[in-house]
Amino acid sequence: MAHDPELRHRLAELYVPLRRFAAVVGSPGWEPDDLVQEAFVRAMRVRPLSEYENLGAYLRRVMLSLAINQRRRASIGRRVLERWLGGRSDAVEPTYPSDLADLLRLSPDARAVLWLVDVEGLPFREVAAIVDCSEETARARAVRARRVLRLALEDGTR
Amino acid sequence: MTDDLRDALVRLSERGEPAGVEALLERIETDLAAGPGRTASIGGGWRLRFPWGRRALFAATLALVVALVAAALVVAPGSRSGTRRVASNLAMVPERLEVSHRAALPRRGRPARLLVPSGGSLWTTSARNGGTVLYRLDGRTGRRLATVELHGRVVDLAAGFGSVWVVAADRGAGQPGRLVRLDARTGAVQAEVELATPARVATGAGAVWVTDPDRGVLDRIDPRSDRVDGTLAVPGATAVAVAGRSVLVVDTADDLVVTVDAPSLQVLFRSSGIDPAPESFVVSGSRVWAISDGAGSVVQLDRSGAAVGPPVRLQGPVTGAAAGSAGAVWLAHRGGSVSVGLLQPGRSVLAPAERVRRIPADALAVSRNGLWVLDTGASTLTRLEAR
Repeated sequence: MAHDPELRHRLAELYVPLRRFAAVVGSPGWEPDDLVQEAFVRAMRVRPLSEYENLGAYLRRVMLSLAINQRRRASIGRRVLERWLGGRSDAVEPTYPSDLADLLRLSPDARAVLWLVDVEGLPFREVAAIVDCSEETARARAVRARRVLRLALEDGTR
Repeated sequence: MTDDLRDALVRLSERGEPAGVEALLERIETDLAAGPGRTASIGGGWRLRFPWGRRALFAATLALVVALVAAALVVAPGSRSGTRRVASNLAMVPERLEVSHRAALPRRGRPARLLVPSGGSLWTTSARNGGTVLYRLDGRTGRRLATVELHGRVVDLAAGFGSVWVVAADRGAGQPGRLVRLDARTGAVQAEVELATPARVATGAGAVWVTDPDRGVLDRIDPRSDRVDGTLAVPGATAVAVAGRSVLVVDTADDLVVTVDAPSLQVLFRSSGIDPAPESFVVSGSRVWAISDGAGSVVQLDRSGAAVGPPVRLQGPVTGAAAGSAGAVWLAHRGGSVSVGLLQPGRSVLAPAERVRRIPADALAVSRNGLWVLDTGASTLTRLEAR
């Protein structure tokens, strides 16, 4: 099968950073590659890849939105199951307290902000565009997420 | 904090096995070629889009749910037939536990205090003629499904990676001990790993972990190759458990709990001050409990392996323990009038299973069907359920 040269080029260029982002924002039960795949498919159904001004940012936004929706659905499903089973849930936290477990307890958009700021080193203006909020909100989310993590760490070492 | 956070984020970003550009290219183009009616779903596989719209789909789902609820109300056993409905194990609370089933084990050899759930089965062992017989039992009825005979004395069992991992020691004639891997469904021997004097085994964090107190080591076995792929010196290593990506080991030489980072085999913490020193661990959700069997003492550990608060003292030695839900631990002990109970995080008192009263309990295991109690003296298994 002859591959689309534009897709091959953009995928080769963006695969590693996008997969890392997907691994950070996605739930532990998902394969990060599935998020990357879905984002590309959705983007290509809207318009050709060459027409995107900032394809990397657009794809990140799509992945984040998918991750948030999936988490919301999973949370609704869990609540329904709890009610159905008589108010008790067996959904105990699957992991021993650790920095990764604490991170995974944050919302996908909080994790996205931390990743984009602390690892990718993006300015809050660009982060806000990806997370689809104002610059101030992005800043506030970063501060709040760090505070939550610090409290979790202090709680765990107490 | 910032460096730690960055490090944690980077580790999180590296999770999973990358498919690679070529494979993903193939998947995206296949997806696009399938047209807008089909789309790849998150988590693999496919999902169908319903051309008649979401409202029709919602109506159909609602109708199905109503039909299922109605069917459940019609066929559910309960007040109409005079029988009491057995509560789900998710609602298994000690005060509602009652004996619901009893099964006899084969009366051959000496049953060991080992009871391990694996899938829908339970595994237990019995020493006989210098060897050991392992029984795979039905997790609902306790009926024997398979028998496996092994040379040597089996000292510990653990389930993981679709297998049951058996620590066999004392083979005699100077032969080393070994870790035997059995297929959890059939009981067939899949692999054997020679280890000098193995004692305890645990699975998790992508590996099988075996302690060897005589050599003073913790061995990491890769379940893909069935070989030892890492060894860490832990003097007098005995009890072992895996919690997240940490491995907890009791160092009996120095009375410490050693917390090891599983991927790197680096020691993260050495905690002292747990008195008396733990003899076993139970990992329940995100909680780790350290149990000093002989002293009848149980304490929750924090992520550094240090005790959280004072230990809970039971009325007698602990004879069995199993993870409950929401971080709690089921405990059996000798002493008092009730021998089985549930200890919940943050509580200092064991909630007793009052209706069960004194039931000899040498090991506990939780299966989908209830809490199982092994009585080695009578060679019986008793299933407790909430009613």
